Amino acid sequence: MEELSEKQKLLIALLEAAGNSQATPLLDPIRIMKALFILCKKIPENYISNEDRYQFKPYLYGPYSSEVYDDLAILEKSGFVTRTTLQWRNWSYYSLTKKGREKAEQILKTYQNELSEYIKSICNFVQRNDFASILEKVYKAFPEYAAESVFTKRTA
Amino acid sequence: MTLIIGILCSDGIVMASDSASTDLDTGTKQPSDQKIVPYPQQHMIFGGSGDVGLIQKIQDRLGKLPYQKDPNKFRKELKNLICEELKESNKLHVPYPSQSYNSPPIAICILAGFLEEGPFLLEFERDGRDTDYGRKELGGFVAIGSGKPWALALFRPHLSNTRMVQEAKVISYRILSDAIALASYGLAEPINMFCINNKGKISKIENDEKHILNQTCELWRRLESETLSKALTPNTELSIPENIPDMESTKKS
Repeated sequence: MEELSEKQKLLIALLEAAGNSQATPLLDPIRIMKALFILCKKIPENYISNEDRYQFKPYLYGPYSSEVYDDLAILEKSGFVTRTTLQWRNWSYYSLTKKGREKAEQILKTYQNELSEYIKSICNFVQRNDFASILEKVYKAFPEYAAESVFTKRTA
Repeated sequence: MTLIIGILCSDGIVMASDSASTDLDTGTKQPSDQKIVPYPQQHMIFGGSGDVGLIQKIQDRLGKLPYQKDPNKFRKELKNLICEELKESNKLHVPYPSQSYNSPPIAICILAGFLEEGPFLLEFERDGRDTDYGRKELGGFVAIGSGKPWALALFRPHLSNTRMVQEAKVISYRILSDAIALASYGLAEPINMFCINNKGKISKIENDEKHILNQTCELWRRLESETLSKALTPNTELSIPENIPDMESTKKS
């Protein structure tokens, strides 16, 4: 079994939730970023320790962590994650490969049921809301992360 | 091949260009950051499309032009200067029987700035005819060069809006980046951008700000795409979570 960090496991669990939802299994980097941010902020410490959470800073679209992009690249290289480019879109979408889904199954067995359900609900939140709504709701809940945002003026 | 645009705003003027200098004869392109030139003494910005040598001559003469407060006199002086160079170019041209050498070099220029009486956004065509796009009825927008059709199409939804420099910078960046992405040849990064405020002070948009403009444009494209999709195909079957769920509420449900 390839050793993954707890952060990478959380990322895989999120992509697994996207794959099992009624919406598209593909998540764009901003939805991944915002979902992981919410999870890292809202999951109580008895489920995931603080050192196993991504660290975020305010940036142009709100909370940002370069570690998330690093881990997506690592997981893609390891064959757990695949990146899809849609025509005329400047950004990529991520989903799990077969190997990634098998890994997700192992990871979810180690998670408490409440945690798995919460990951699904946050995934549902970022999938069902449009981009502007996600940013508005994240900025409203965590205004300190909107400080550098290019979107701030419109939502204030 | 070029795209240069000028946008008049209530608090200044924005001018932006691509950076490709194309040699049609050899099919090569070289980077050029000289498509837009600021003239701080005259409180104006120049943008030129066409023959590089001819544009250089016009630029050299513009640098020596004294600042003129009267807009009509200033416009005439600019026209005289540009027309003299166009005539000279025409007079000295030696026609050669090959495409792009059989007609005299041309230049199309934009001059934007502020005089005491207000802003100007002038275009001087290859035959010397001049138009002030700073007039309200023309929307305060001008584009020159091979990328002009894209710029006109992309700016169309914003033509009748009152706008501020900050907004015009974003629009300019998007017009240039989309036109560069769509052009099969002749337009290239980097995007150069200058602003002149309503006191006549000129500033260059540096790379840090361009990075932010790029990200803002990316956000704009996404919002545009999602807003239209949502408006035309509302998803009534799936419930949309209103607020960020808490773990407690998830447990209860």
